[in-house]
Amino acid sequence: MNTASDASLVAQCLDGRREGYAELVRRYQGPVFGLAYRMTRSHEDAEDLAQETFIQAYRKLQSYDTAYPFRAWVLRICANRAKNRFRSTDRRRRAEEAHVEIHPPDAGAMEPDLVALDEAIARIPQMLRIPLVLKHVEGLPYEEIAQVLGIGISAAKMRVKRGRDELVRLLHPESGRVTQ
Amino acid sequence: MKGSKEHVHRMLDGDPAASAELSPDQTEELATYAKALRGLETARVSVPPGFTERVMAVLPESIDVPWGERIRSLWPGQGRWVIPAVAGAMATVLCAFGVPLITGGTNRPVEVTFELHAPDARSVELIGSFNGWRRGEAALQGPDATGHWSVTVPLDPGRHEYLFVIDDRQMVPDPSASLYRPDGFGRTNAVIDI
Repeated sequence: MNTASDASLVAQCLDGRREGYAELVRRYQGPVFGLAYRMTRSHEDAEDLAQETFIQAYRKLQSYDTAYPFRAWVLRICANRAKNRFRSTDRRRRAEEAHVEIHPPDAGAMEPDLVALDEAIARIPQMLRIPLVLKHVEGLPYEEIAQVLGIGISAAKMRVKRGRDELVRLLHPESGRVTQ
Repeated sequence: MKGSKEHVHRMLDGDPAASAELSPDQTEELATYAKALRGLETARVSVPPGFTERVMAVLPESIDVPWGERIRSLWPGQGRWVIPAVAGAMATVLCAFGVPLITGGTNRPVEVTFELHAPDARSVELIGSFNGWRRGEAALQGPDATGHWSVTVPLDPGRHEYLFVIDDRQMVPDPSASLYRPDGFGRTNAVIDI
């Protein structure tokens, strides 16, 4: 197991040793792929998005500031690429508008509860979905979520709260108490 | 209801103080949230096998250099400024003195020799636009053994018209000129381009 710090792995890459980058990809492919999946809802598209993210991060490695966590930096690239994808296609509207029925491509292989959860996550507006996923799927602290989103910590906390509320509202539409 | 939600969110963020005064309704609400979030936590997707290898296979050859870094790299590093500085100084000197020398060279007068075959003449003189058609300034020497008269005068670059004055009374254009031009008074001047 490679115990080198992220900063030293980045320094290796800048020195022309690409194997350092393979370790960085191994370390952060989980959260990047997880976020990419929650943004695209397709394993194929998620792999494309995650791959594009790591390629762009490699290209821009010179501009990475080692004062910030590498994970937050690479997740920020992923989130921005995902937003751009949705902007450039009609999929954003389809994924964000609650009126449109969304079925995951592999729904048949999922438990009914998971299908409902998957659909609920997909219906949460992107602005709230990203912080919610980063907090409760990837387990990022609020400070890092704020860095990923480029906002303040209190704003990140507020978005996570609203994301939770939205998730519960979508999973339990009959429950008046949790409806804002 | 907003206050109760605040307690729930604080509990979900791991604040134990928020649990002190939870009402039964709030406890139920907390359970609903906790269940939804547990589901979310288990909804983690796994990375497809071989992902790292596929990324590494399509990685670009080089890392982009930011524009700021590129511009900074043009500035000579410590101790490496002497050669660019000397080159710059030389270029400045060349521009300041070399250009006028080069362009001035083309404006300098050129020595031109005029010749006329007049074996029987007693005197031959050259007049033209280059000296305001004044007489007495450019007498030709001769005749030589072959009957030729000649004089060499400095002329500025450009077009000049001229005539020979033979024996102080007869004005003739140079018979060996390559170009002639009427003077507007019934005569024809010889033309020379320098």
